[in-house]
Parts: sequence; structure tokens; C-alpha cells
Amino acid sequence: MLQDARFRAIMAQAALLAGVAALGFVLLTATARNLELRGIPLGFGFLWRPANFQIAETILPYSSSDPNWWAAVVGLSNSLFISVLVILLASVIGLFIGIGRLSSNPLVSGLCRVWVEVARNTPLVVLLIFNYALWWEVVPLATQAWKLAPGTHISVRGLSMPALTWSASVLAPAAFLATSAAILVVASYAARQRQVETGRRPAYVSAAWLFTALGASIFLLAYRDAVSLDIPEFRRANFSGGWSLTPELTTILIGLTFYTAGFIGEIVRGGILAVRKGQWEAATALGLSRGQTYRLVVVPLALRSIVPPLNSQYINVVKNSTLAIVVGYQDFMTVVSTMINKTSHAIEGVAIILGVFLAVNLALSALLNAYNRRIAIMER
Amino acid sequence: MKRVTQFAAAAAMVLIGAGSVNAQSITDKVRQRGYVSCGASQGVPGLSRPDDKGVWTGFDVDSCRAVAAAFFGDSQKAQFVPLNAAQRIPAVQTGEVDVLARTTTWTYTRDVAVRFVAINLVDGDAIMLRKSLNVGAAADLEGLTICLQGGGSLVENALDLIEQQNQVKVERVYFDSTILARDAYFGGRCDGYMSDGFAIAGQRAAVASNPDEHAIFQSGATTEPLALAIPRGDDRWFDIVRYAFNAMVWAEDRGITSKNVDEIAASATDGETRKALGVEPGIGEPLKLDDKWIYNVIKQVGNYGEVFARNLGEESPLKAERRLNALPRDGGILFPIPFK
Repeated sequence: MLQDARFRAIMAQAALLAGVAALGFVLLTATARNLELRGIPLGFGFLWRPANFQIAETILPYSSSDPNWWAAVVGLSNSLFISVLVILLASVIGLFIGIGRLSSNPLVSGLCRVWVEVARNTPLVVLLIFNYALWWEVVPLATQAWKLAPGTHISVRGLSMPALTWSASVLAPAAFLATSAAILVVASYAARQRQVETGRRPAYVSAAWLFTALGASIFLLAYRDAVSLDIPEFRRANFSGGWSLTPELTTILIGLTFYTAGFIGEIVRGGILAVRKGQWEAATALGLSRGQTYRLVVVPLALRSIVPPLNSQYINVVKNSTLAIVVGYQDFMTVVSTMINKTSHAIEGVAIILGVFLAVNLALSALLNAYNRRIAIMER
Repeated sequence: MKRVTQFAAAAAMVLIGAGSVNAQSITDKVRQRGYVSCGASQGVPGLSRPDDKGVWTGFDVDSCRAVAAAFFGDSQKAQFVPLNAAQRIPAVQTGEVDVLARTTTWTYTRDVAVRFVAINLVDGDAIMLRKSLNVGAAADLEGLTICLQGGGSLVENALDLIEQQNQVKVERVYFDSTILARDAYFGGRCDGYMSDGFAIAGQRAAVASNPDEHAIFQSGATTEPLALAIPRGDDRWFDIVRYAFNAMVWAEDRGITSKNVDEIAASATDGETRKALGVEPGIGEPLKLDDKWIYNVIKQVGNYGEVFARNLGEESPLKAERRLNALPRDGGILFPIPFK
């Protein structure tokens, strides 16, 4: 039987697998034993105990008496919030940079080139700390804040502006918005069906908008006492009230977007250059304008070579969001590190960090791969 | 086949490595390595910070140098690893540092994870604020923004406590290093910068462009026993660190300084002093150290009073008072353990 190449191959594979499994087992037991010797406890029970630490800025409601697992979720929501915003902003800006770099206008292509070179050749940490320091180097102190509009100020404490506050139940506006959205979706679907059948597009959508606007006026009239304007006031040292954007969140958003847009710009440029010259000529021959050529021909074709490398850029955004704490914005990694420090459950904490980032990034990849399959050339 | 052999060899090496992780004691490891690895802060003037030549100085640094002086007979055989608040305990647990001398509060939770050896400094929380804000009581903190190091530091808890006890609400901005928090405060991002009392005094004295602009508010919400910590599992190392520190306190109690130690060694008549300073043999034997180990600590690092004065007290820019960090006869809580 040893003469059989297939049998030998299977045996080699099995031996390798057994070896890896044995190695994993030994490492795990050695770790557990060493942890026990050093008095480091193992287990996930700490997740249900109160966190007892505060998080400065959160998307979800949080107080320090909440359990550790909720603190981790709140930290994750902070991370995902900046990741999603950065991915959206950097994709749009990156698209324009990529197109701009191919522009025949030397000013436009030069500026885009500078952006790309600065973003690609600067360590992200340096970029973030530099951006953050700009706040107090450039922006005035709270006492001398720049007034942009009535009640809207920008200072080293961030942007503070008036906010609409809602004192009634949130259910009413939520129900209203959901109904309006449903009507709009149904109307546009019906209009499309009708257009396919008859060749003419009926005014369903306009009617739906009109209906929504009418509904909104009635709604606002009915609830006019619930809406009020909260204007920030300067008290002692800072503006309070209204809606504010902190320098920390702004810095991580701008810094990470700037950095990522530089990379995405190059991917877009590469994708556009990969579109064959014949396609451009065909578009020109059809009499399409430059904007139309990009929108209808070049970008859809370029997407095929853009999406796969874009995938890894998006994953990098999620990973790079862990640098947010450098500029004082508490992300998932920071929250779990704090938890580790307070509970001494380092192994479990690190496992949670790894597991969550793996899950988030695999989900993101799956999403983009599905999209990639949709836009790929269909061969029949 | 060659690949399989290589893999087997690699696996065997990993197995041997994994098996012997804990076989070596800290004392052996340090002796073999040739220097003491000390956990330090990321740069707190007066406590632990590299000077302009890159030499680490400060009160915590000297506490660790005392260990090097006792163990190697050379206070320079210590190297310093800057750690933030979240890194420090894991760094001790994993044995990355042999001694943690980094304003670390001795708590129950931490003491069952690492080993606290001796309280080297008693401190409380403090907030540096601009004088123009006129903060005289905790109630005046209402609505202010405070920059501080997050990551589970006890200063964070002190701020929570101040809020609860005084019914005030402050806004926080957390950083992963006290240095970034400090810079954000000096830049105007926050109204206050919070840390331990000595650290705050140091930052004001050494870093503020105009120290007179800043006031220090001490709420008294917490009293923190800051202590030296070591990894668990080596009683010998525990003894060495504890008594290296005690040598400094003992020397102050006996009036022995780095300047007069030779004189006193030559003229001493009482048995304890003569033995401790290595004039008579035997003091090093139980710890397997040189008989001159206490002498070396005093000669190279100094007694507690000298170390305090040099780094935090009258000879330093901080000009901090000793308060509880004094011998019982001076109203403090530093008890010298007799070398008998």
C-alpha cells in the first residue's frame, strides 16, 4: 500500500493534521498551567459583572454600572460608527481623487497627487497626532470661539451648534417616517412596473412625495409643542447644550478618511486605466459627454478591478480604527483593554478583541465579495 | 520528506520551550540577564522620566535602582520599560518586567494578580486647573472638562468619587497616555488635567510654560498607597526588593546618607550598623548577596530622605512636601524594618 501515491499523500496529510492538533493541545495546556502558576484566573464570568469605568463619548446609552459585556458592545459601536463613516467618506473622496489624478488640468492632478503621496507615505499615527495638535495650534480657545452662525461656534472644544429636541415619545415620528418610506418604496416600484408594461412612467412617485410632505406638515403642526430649539450657551469655560461634535471624533474621522482616501484614489486610478481605450472611443462616438462617459461606461467597467483591492482597504479601515485612542476617542480595543486592566482577564480579553475583529472583517469581506460577484462579467 | 523533518524539529523546539516557561526563578533570570528590568511611566517628571541625555531619573526610578544596587552592586544595572496604565499589570504578570516602580496603587484585585512588596510613596489624586477658573471646592468643578489617562487607572475612580460625593457632573476626555492628556490640557482642550498629586506637581513644575497660571486642586477623595510590585512565585526576589527599599528607609532612620556612609561604616560601634554596612560579615548570606549590599544601596542611591529631596522635594523643581512619606518620628508612616 505504501507504493500507492494517493494513500501516501493522505497519510502525510493526516500526520500533519495530527501534528498541528497535538501542538495546539500542548500549547493550550502549557498556557493554562502557566497561568495557574502565576495566579492569573481564566474564565468569562467577568463579562456579567459591572464595568465600573466610564466611556467619555458613546453612540449607545452607557453608564459605569452596566456590565462589562455591554461596555464592550458600546465600544464596538463606537468603532463601527467611525469605520462606517470613514468607509463612506473615503470611498466618495477616493473616487474623485482617482479621477482627478487622471485629469488633464495640472492643478487638479497635482493636488490629487500631493494628497495621495502625503497619505501613502505618512505613518497613520503621526498623521492623527498631527491633526489633533492642529486643533489647539489653529483653532481658538473656547473664550474666543469663531462664530459661524447664530448659536454655532467652533473652538478648541469642538463644534457646537443648535439642536432640535423632541420631548414627546420617539414612537410617533418613527412610525411616521417608516410609513412615508414604505409609501415611497411601493410607489417607485409600482411606477417602474408600469413603465416596463406601458413604456410611460406614471407620476406615482411625485404623488407619494406630495403625500409625504403633506403628512409631514400635519405631523409637525400636531406636535409643534414637542419640538424646540436647543441653543448652546457659553457657561464659565465651555458651551453647553445643543449638539456638539468633539475634536476627538472629528480628528479620527478626518485623519482616517484622509489616509484611506489616498489609497482608494490609487485603486480607482488603476481601475480606470484598466478600462480599454476602445470603450472610451465608443463612448465618444456615441456622443456622450465626459461626465456621462465616466458615469455610464468607465466607472461600471472599472468597478470590476476596483472592488477586490477595495475590500482589503475597507478591512484596513476597521483595523486602523483601533488607533482612535491616540486622539482620545475610545474605541472597542481601548474599552476591552481597560476591562483587562480592571479584571486581569488578559487572555480572554485579547481573545474577545481578536474574535470580534475577525468576525467584523469576515462579514465585511463576505458583503463585498457578494457585491463583487454581482458586478463581475456574467459568462453564459 | 525534508520539509517534514524540519517541521518536526520546529515542533519539538516549541514543545521544549513551552514546557520550560516557568522553570526559571526571577532571581536566576535577572542574574543571567545582567540587569534589572524596571517598569516605568511614559514620562512623569520627578517620578520616572528620561532626562535630556536619555538617562532615566526620578523617585520611582531610584526605587528600582536601589534593587539593582543591592543585587548587582551597581545601581546602573537597571533598564527601564515605559508602560501605560493598561500595560503595567500584564507586564508584571508575564514577567516582562522584574520590578514595577510606576506610581501603582496597591489594591486587593491587583495584589492577587501580582505581588506588591512595599509602599514607596503615599499620594492622592489632584487636578491641575487654570487659576482663572477659581476652583476652590469640588462643587466648582461642575460642567468643566477634565483630560486624564483612561485604561482603568485609579484616578478615573477618584473622579467618579468626587462626582458622587459632591453631586457635580464633569465631562471627561480619556487618553491612553498621561502625556497626551497633559498636552491636550495645556493646549486648551480641557479645563483640568487629573493625575496623582506628585505627578501633577511635576508636570506643572517641569512642563507648563508658565507654572503660575495653573492651580492644583486636591479633593482628598482618595489616599493612594503607591507600591513596588513584582511577579508572583519567587520569595527570594520578594525579599531582595523589599529589603533594598527598606535599606533606604533604615538609612534615613539611622542618619546615614550617601555622603557620610563611609565615615559611619568606619566609626560605627553598634552591632546592627556594623553588620548591615558589611563591616562585619553575614548580612548578605541569607539572600545570597554580597555583604556590602546595603552599603551599596546607600552609597549609590542614597537614603529615602535624600532620594525624595532630589526628585520631589526641596532640591527639585516640584518642591513637594513629604507629608505622610516620612518616618514616624516626623509624623509619617515609613517604618524602617530593623536589620537584625
